[in-house]
Amino acid sequence: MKLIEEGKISGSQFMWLLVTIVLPTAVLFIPALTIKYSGTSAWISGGVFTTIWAFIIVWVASTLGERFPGMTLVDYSSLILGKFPGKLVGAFYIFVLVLTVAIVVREFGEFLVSSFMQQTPIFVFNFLLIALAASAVRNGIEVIARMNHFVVSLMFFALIFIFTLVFSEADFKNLYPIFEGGILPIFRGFFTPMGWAGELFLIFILMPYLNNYREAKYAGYKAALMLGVIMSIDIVIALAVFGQQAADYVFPVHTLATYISIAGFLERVEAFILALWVAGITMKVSIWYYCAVIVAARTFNLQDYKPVVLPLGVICLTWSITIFDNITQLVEHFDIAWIGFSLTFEFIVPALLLLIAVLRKKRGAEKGR
Amino acid sequence: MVSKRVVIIIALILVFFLPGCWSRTEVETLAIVTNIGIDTVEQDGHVKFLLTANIIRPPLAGGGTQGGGSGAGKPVYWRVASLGDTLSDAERNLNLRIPRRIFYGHLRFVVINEKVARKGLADIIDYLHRNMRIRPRVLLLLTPEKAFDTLIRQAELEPDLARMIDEMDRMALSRSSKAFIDDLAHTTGQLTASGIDPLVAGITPIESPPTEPEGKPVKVIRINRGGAFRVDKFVGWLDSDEVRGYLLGIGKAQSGPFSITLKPHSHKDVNIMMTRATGKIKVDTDGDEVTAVIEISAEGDLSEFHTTEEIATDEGMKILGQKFSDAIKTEVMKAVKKSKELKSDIFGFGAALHRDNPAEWKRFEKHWYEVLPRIKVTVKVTAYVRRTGMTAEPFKPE
Amino acid sequence: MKLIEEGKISGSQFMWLLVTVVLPTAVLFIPALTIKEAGASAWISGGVVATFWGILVVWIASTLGERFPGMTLVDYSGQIIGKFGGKMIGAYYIFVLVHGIAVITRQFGEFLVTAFMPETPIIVFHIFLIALAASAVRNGVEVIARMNHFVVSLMFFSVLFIFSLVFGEWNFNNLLPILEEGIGPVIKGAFIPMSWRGQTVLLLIFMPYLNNYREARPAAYKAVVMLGIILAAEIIICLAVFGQLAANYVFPAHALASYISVGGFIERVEAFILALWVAGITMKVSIWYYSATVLMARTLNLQDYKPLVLPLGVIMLTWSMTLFDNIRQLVEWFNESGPAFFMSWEVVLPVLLLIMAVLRKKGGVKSGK
Repeated sequence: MKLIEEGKISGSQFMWLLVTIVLPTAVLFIPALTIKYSGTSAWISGGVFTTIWAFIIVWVASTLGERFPGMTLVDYSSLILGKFPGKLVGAFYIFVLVLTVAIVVREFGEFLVSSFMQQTPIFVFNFLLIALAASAVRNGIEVIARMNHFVVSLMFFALIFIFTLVFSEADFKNLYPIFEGGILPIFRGFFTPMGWAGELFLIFILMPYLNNYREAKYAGYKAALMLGVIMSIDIVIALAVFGQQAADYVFPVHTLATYISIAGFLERVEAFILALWVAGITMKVSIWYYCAVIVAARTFNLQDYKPVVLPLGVICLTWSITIFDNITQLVEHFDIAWIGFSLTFEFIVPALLLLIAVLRKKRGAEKGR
Repeated sequence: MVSKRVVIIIALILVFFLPGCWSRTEVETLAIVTNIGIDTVEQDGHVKFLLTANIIRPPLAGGGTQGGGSGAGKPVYWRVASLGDTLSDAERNLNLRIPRRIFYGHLRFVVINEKVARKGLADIIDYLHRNMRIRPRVLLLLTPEKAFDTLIRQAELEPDLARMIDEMDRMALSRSSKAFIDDLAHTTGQLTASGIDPLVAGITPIESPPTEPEGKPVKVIRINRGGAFRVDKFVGWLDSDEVRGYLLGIGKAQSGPFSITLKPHSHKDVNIMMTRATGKIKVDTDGDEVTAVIEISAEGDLSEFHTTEEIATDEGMKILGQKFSDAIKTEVMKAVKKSKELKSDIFGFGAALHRDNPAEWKRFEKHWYEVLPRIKVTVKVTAYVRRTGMTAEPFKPE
Repeated sequence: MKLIEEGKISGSQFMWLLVTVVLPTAVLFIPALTIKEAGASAWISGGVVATFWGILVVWIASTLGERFPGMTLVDYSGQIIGKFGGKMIGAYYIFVLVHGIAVITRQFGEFLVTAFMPETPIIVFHIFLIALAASAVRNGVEVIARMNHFVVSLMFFSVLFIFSLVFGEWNFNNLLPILEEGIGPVIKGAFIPMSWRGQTVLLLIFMPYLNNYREARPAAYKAVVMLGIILAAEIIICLAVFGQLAANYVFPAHALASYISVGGFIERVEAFILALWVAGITMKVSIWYYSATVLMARTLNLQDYKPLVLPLGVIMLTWSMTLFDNIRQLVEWFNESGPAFFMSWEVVLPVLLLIMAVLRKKGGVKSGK
């Protein structure tokens, strides 16, 4: 069974990759979206429910992966469903991954244009981001994983920095009443972060590159928990500082950063959020891009994945520009269409694959590593 | 292998990009705005916005950085205004007069004319929030005169109004707790949340007698009141004592003098300097009645004593503490009374009810401003006088 | 007989310890309290009467200690009045010492808040003081004694400095008439300085750590006389400079220091009084704290006293915050319940122990050391 790429990563690198898959965009968009629906209980939808959901996704994806150690998605889909349907699954995931890359790239561009550089065309940011990610993808999974280690620490530092510095402005009275409108608004607010948490399904694409495939499930749970904690803190702080009004900001965390003022001189630290954002998103796009490329290579039975990088990049770039007319459409898309769509590729397809594999008693050969 | 030649060619091309960034903005091309004022003006039957800006005056060519030492240097800022159908329109219309890009990155405060505020603050707040350069920490102030006139008043000790208001907010007001300048984020929060209304600091324009020998009278401002809002509309003023009552109630008061009467005289004979205070509001319902309890705890030191009896005893301190808490109570009740009169829920009784009892809040929410004047408010104060300053007993003239 | 700690101190170190046991707080509070009662004759109460009292206390305590060389208070109390009785005496002294430290800490905090940093919450000073003292206590009696040597010289220097620099303002007419109202007010005014001077009874606790227990008595007499001279000088100078007015000040010594103006350039030397106060009180608290800790370890029959340092510190800290509502309550406590309270452990208990020991013929044996 060929893996297309020979890179291998460790369990902890795997975990941090999973964190980066979700965090950079989630930390900016989730608070406003969840607070809009769940109000003061947003941290329950964004933190608690989402973490539970992430655990389910991790369980499904890694159980599926563990049945077929060392095999790629396309290979075992063919084993489970037959050769042609397997290719179809591959094609579906290429579409999904490329689409997601396009959306993430657009989010990145929108943020930079509306918060920092109003007069620069969004195309410039999208282009630079995809070029950077393409170079990372060509270097393979090991380079991405190592680079990610560095970037994750940068992100954590920036987040902790912002959260601690606005802490003096936090008024925890804003978190009451809890469960105001009963459980329904909480569920409604949970749908959006659900799509984000579900991004952990990438486990089953990245699993074959793990040194020891048994570490995947454990690392996935850890990543899910970590994400849950960070998102809860993110939402709680945004609520405590701004109250319900946080829902009116497009990027509450950015507004938090602009709100920092310690003793009249520690001010204007938005650059930290910019660092978090640019570095984090570049990593996030690289990982998704990489997944798209290797799935494509395997679907088309290529010997090498590198020739696919450039064409896919061009598609992503064009798509990222044309996919939305304006930022409101982007935000609305997360509200409505995304929920059903993300549920399909994050949960339903992997779950069906797993179910059929169990029913048809298919499993991969237990290999040495 | 990329050949050396290609690398050299790329490096040479890159050299052309070294001189600077694309669409960079040099500081000489910016008009840095430190404060803006907002008025409305009627013109040809249309209401237009008058946007006034204080812009930092660029150092003149060849001039020293300090503007030439003592005395009659020009002020460091410059006032300019323009009309527009909307605030953004007015902002860009400034550029019909100023050859520089209007830059809001250093905006410190926004003065809003009282009459404009009576019509509603929401439009202005929207403009301020939507702009990427304006920070949520920008301070808001109300002025009874035209904001256009306020922005040319003297800052006296500080070089400009922006720094003066900044220092007032950071230091001066916490010394007396008699006024309080809130920022854009908090005001918007109170505007959008149900059951709480904003209180925006108010300016009183005054003409002071000459401040230097053979000088002329100077026009200055004093920040000594607060404008109460109902939803987003200005409804009336609180004077400085009422503002302190309000700050005590919501727990934002810090330090400040309380003059009290110990003996039944006609004048105040003791002063307690409050050193710290906390306040908490609890609201409950009983049928159709709403009751609110404001709990305040405060600490203070004896800072002035005009009578001669012995006070430096535990007993004396307890009596002073009692008087001190009575004084606090009176002030808070005054502010509550004003809030009811104006039907402006500045204390956030509604929000407190919402927090503690969402179901009950649903019942009252619709007609809250009718309920507000009927709320039974009790103020519970525990105040201690801890210290007597550097002396204990008063000096006895003999 | 176990001593819990192996440290040994010399006769002169012992003397300076006893000076520090009394001086730092006395120098700030005694003048105002004494002048209030005794007026122009206050120096007789604070200097003469209290010194005789101090000599009496030292005589009793050292006679008691000499009967049981090398033994701790708890041990010989146990021999004199039975094991249980001994433990009770130990418990009482622990209570007294911990209470005393709470009071001293509060005095320290009140002084700093009133005279130097009115906006800092008082608990900040308490925490620093007790934490510093706790670290000294953990280092044992030798370290405390050596440190004390340094601090005492600092104290003496600043006291001399302040006293001598106000010389231009001395007006000895303020000291007349002597004994205006007879001896009554003088005795009344002596109660507070007497209770302060009696704190030298702590020699009972430090005697076992002395190299040669016979040095205790002369060292203690020297300490008491030295204290008498310093306090008499201080009261005289306060009176000479401020007259009866001195009683109105909360901290006359601080008022003296801020009154200094020599040649228009030696001014604003309150920092000296601050140095005296902070360094001195830290030593005073350390010594008391140490006494409380070793006494408790001996009462509870522990092998080591160090585990007790932290819990006792927490008790002291809490107590120091809750003991008094305001500064006048603190001062009144010294006036009203203070004298009786101090008398009980400074004189009454040692006298009773001594009488019982003599009657029951306990102790007085030459031990090996």
